[in-house]
Amino acid sequence: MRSKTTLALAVLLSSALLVTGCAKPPQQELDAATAALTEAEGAKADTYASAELGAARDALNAAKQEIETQNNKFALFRSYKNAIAMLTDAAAKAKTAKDTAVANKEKAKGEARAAIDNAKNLITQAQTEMTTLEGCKRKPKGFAADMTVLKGNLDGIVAEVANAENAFTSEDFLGAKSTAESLAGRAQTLVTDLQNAKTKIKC
Amino acid sequence: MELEGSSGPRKAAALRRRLFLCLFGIAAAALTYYFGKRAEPRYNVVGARAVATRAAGRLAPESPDKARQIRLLMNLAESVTSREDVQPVWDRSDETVQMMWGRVLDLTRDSMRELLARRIAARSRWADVGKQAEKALPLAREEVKAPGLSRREQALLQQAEIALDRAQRLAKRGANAQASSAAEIALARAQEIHRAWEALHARFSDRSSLHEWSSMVQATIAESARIGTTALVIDKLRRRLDVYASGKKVASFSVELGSKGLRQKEHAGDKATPEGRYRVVAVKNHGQTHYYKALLINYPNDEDRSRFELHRRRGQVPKGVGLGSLIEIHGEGGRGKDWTDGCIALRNNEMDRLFQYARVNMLVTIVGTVP
Repeated sequence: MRSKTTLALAVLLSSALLVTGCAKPPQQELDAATAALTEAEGAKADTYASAELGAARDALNAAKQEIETQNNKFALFRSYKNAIAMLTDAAAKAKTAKDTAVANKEKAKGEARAAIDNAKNLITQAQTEMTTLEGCKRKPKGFAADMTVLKGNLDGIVAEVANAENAFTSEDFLGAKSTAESLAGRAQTLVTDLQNAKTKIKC
Repeated sequence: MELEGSSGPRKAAALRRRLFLCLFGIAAAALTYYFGKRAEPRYNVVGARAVATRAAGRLAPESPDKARQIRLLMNLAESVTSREDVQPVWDRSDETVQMMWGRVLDLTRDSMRELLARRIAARSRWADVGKQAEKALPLAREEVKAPGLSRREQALLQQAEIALDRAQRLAKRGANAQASSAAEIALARAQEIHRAWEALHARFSDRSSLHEWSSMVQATIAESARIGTTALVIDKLRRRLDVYASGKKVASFSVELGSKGLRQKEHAGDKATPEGRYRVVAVKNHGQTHYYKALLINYPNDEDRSRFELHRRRGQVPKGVGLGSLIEIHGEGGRGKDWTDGCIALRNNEMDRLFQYARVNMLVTIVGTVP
């Protein structure tokens, strides 16, 4: 009788310890979510998908917190189901951040290229207008001085195109776009000035 | 009796067995609880993780290396924490977890301090350089208008304007370090314009030039007084034409010069206004000139010719370029800038007033400035 009871208790105790040993933190899912977040960071999500990356980081932190909470519970009551779901969600969010970053980066690249090309086109247009104006037969006094100012302005804009191209080459697409747009604005003003001058002197 | 007598020890044995089972059960429950329950962590991993994550996010744009270091260390701390979580209680080491997160927090704190210091320095640098650039540009805009400064300086001004524009946009976004770099470019361009302007104006503070110009003006006024005739004195720097009758100033007019008028005229087409002692050789009334009325002077005189020859021998004159001619004092002025090819322009109504004194052979002295 005594030996049976002792055996029963030993089995009970072993089962309890076995159950305790089975509830382990979801390391595989945690590693997967962390890797997904690292990939998103590598895709420059900080710059091109900051909101999505923030959401992924928050989700991963929340999942880690849930794991901590479960770890602190009595072994028989631990459950990592919720933590696994949270980690899966964090990994999905990290993937979204990565995909958004890649898409936004491509979009920014395209926009930057278009802005630089637009600025270059306007510069070419300004150069053409300048050549036409210079070829004008009517050259009122002061014309040369005004042309010097306009040519100087165009030289300055042309010199700055290199900055936009450098930013593009170093993958600072947002900076390249901003610089190119500023140059395009100035080149457009110059084209307008040259066209007005042509009209004024009836060229 | 024997049976009754033996029930006593049996009862006691049953009691002992129950007591043993009870104590065994309590011990088993205590042991299960002890092995199952993880010791309450003495270290706030959740808090440390939240602080480090937030800091890495803030560091990423300006100090990506530091942000990466923090994340790497965090990953290490996370794996140590996970490993410790699943260790049997006798093998668990909260101290290791604490040490790892302590390192994360130390690095985070140091990095954030550096970032803060850098931001403060960048803000103060922007406040300094940005202000300097904003102050230098209006001056550069004025200086670039100086007759004698050219397309190169205009291009520099355009570059300075673009750089300052970029700096201001960056500063608005809080990127003070990049804004300061852009403002420094703007400032450097403005300073280059200023140096060109100073080089152009250096001769106006040169003592020997000032002495020479002063002597020329005194001689003209003295001759006007001696002969009792009218003479014109033109101060290029002040853009002023003074009329002297019998040695006394009787009128003064504002003038405009050649588009590079502050320079001494060297050859044809240089847009500079000549300096020297001349005489009026022709008085052109309305209809005889494109510029309302005009007084033609005898440029080039002998002195201009000998200087031109000297410069030509030194190779300072472009090939095939002559000395130039047709320097006049004429009308159609009042444009608010130096625009002529080297002539001196007045407003038409002032040209009318000047014509009251105009006659052929009248003395005309043009100088850089009169001290």
